Amino acid sequence: MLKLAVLPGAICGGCDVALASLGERLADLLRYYEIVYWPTVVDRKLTDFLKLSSIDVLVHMGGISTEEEAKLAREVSSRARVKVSLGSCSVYGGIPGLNSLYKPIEVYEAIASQVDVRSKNSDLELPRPIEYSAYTDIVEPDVLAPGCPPGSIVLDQLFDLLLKYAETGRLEPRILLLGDPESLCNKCPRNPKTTKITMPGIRRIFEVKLDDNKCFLEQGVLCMGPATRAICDHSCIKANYPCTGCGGPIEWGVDSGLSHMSSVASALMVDREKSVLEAGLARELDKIRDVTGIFYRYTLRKSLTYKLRKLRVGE
Amino acid sequence: MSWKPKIVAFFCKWCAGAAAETAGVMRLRYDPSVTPVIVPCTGRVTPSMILSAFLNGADGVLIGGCHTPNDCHYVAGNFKAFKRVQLVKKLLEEIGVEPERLRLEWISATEAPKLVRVVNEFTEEIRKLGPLGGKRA
Amino acid sequence: MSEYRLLSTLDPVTLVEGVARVVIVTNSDGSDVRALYQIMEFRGFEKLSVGRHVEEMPRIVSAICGFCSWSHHLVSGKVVDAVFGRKPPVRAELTRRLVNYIQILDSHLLHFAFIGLPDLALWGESQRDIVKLLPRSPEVASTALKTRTVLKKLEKKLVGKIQHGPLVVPGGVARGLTRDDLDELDKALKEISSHVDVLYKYFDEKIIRSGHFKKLLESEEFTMRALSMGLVRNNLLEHYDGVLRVIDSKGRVLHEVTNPAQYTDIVGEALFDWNYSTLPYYKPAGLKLFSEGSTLVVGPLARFNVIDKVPGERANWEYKRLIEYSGGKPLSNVLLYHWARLVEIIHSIEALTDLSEDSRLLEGDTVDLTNSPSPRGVGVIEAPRGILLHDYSVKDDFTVTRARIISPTTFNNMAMNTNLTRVSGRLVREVKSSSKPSPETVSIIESIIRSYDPCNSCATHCMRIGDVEITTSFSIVVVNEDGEVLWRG
Repeated sequence: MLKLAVLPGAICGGCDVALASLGERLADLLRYYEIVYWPTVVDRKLTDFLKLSSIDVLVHMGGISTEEEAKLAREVSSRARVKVSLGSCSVYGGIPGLNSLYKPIEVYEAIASQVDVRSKNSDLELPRPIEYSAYTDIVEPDVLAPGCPPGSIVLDQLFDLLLKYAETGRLEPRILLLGDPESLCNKCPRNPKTTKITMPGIRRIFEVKLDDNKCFLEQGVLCMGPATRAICDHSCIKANYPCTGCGGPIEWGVDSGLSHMSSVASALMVDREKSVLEAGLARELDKIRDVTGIFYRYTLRKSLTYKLRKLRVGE
Repeated sequence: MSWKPKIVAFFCKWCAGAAAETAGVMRLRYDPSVTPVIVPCTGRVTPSMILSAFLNGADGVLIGGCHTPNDCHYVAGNFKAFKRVQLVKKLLEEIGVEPERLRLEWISATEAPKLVRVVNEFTEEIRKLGPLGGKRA
Repeated sequence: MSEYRLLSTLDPVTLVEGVARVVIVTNSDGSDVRALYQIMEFRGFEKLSVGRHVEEMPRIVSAICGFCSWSHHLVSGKVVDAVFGRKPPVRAELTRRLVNYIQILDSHLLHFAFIGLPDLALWGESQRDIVKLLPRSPEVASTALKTRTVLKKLEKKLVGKIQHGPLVVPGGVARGLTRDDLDELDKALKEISSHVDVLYKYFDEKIIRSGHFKKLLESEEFTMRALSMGLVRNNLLEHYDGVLRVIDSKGRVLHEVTNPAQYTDIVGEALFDWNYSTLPYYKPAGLKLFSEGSTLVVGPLARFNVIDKVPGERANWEYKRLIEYSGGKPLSNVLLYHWARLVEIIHSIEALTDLSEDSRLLEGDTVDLTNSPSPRGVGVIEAPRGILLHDYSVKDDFTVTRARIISPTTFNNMAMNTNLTRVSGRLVREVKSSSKPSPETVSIIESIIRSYDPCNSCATHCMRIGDVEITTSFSIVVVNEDGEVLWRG
């Protein structure tokens, strides 16, 4: 039996549920793998797990928010033959990565300012949180399985990969970034393939009743499909909601926020630029009040924008 | 005062780029802190090029393109540049970088004096804003 | 004060969602023992919500918790409705209710199968999980697993994703359900019902009718006589929208709040510098740590305490049976949580069956687009684990300026500390006499925690305490009822 460990960092549990819900596929895997650690599902103490000198496959979920999570992730990773980074928090920082523009104390203050702070003692003896990062910032994994939680394409590929690894001892085909190497837009059931996409303006979701057939961008609604890797079966779009970009960039290392800003700029009112002119275009773009939250919802921590912020504040 | 601003200028070869050449021929002086990068069209300048310029030492980024609505050689590259710059300016503001560090100007091939004025104005503005990076003061 | 010392940590408590541990501290003669339930990470949703388009919040905050993502999604949707001043059409409201029931069913089944059932069925053993239960009671364990497969398929069909999916838009839902969806629901319910019958039968025979369980219910160690808070609608069990009611440990009604924004009359929240977690408490009583009179409890037992009746014939029969068995209301033994979840599973199936036959789900508008904006919105919902509250303020451009989120696990934080403190004395005595606690005592502590079903992912959007490394750079505090630090080390 091979040893499989699932190690959570700062998680929501969505990746746990995604894995645990695989039922039969998971049972297939358990013919080859013994789960030596998975705190949500298996009752094994961390101290016992840490006695193992090596494990075959480590699946890491979640981001890194404390010194201890970082230490544990590094320690366990160094004993693992294959390291899988599962879910967009682990791979890209995910939604909590939106906080990476701030210092931990500012994040704490967002709560403290709203409640009754009973005692103020500057000599805090509690361990301090470290600046939030992705697992991929501290360890170099062998397999990246993005998504929030990982979509069906990614999970299928991951299970195939792990089964093959159990049978052959080799990681083949060696895919670093799971999912299909194309944009979600490419195979979108709504994609108007024959024409170039034209956004009639910018419409926030509260302004419209979403049409359940038409390309969201053509409704003026921001959809991250063009800049997002195909990791799912268009689940949100089929539920009549635009893609929010949980799959991350089409290629590892690309800044999907910036590439999508580019696509929106290309598509916005292309048919009317010469009549609405700069003022008209600016008026529409000004309706986007949160560029970071729209374009970088899951990937801010890995972006050039994050690096620029760090440069700006001198870190 | 040891610090000098560094500015990267993306100039469209059909207009601002040509104006920069003309300025040279006319012996018009402009601030040497500007490093011009000639591009085929401002529509070629991506948000990631702008951020890379900042990350690689630029304190300001200037983009010079053809006048709207009808001067772009590729129909609407200048409008595309305008929309991108608008979005990037918003992004910069959200992360605490002055949006004034990014400037877009329409400068035709015949407007060498305008080019010089814009470059000098922009350099002065960046000088006032100071270095982009927190520690390079 | 150096006589206080760290006695024991259970590190981490496995089988609760997210990473947590219990720290128990005592003075030298064991006369003063305190237990603190600690959650050890921090994700900061209050901060990252600021600046966001408010209508995007339901998709952002659902990532607080992967187990009850729909609860966060739905309550956030209610806040957004309030901000825009919209009233979702009947079709949209029923769709949201339907998804809320699926959430409760899903979460309760997951907890029951993976945590509650193994915990009670393998009582006294060191490893109490489904992996160990599987060879012991294969048909029960595999039935439990099968319900997951059916439910996940159903969620995928109805809402696209099994968690963090899209459903609500301001004033409605993104997509109305179709006949095909309801047929699928009907089919799934029939299948789940038959699985649940198997689980119920097992639970009835092996647990309810066992003298052992009855004895555990009489144990003071599992008893918690605090205030119960939950939603009610016409005195009936309600999970989506109702009056927020608080009752005391004698069953007397203390508060009924119709406008959720008035929660601040009932709930106080304190933050101490020895603790990153807020401690919500019953405001009129003032904050008294480790005191039942100041402690609000939420969740299935609290819900059962604040209502008179469960809609639906079978569920109500089960509800009455539970109350009779345990000696009447208010219910105070935390081991009843597992049973209460089972009753709510039955209720959810009944409610969903009614909805699957409701043609209003198929007709009419899916969204209200009128606007009558307000700078603040507050929403309350019954998540599987209890009252979940979201409170946002917005600017004129509908971006968020402030967010406060109180999850059921945060609400129950005081209750868990109070409850665990009671058992800790026993642990301390054992450590003193034989240098380590007995497995049974450790089991009791774990069982208390598992009963509350703490969802640390939910709570950690706002808290962090302690280290994973228990022996080094570790901070221990002993606090009194007023939250004053007696000792730290």
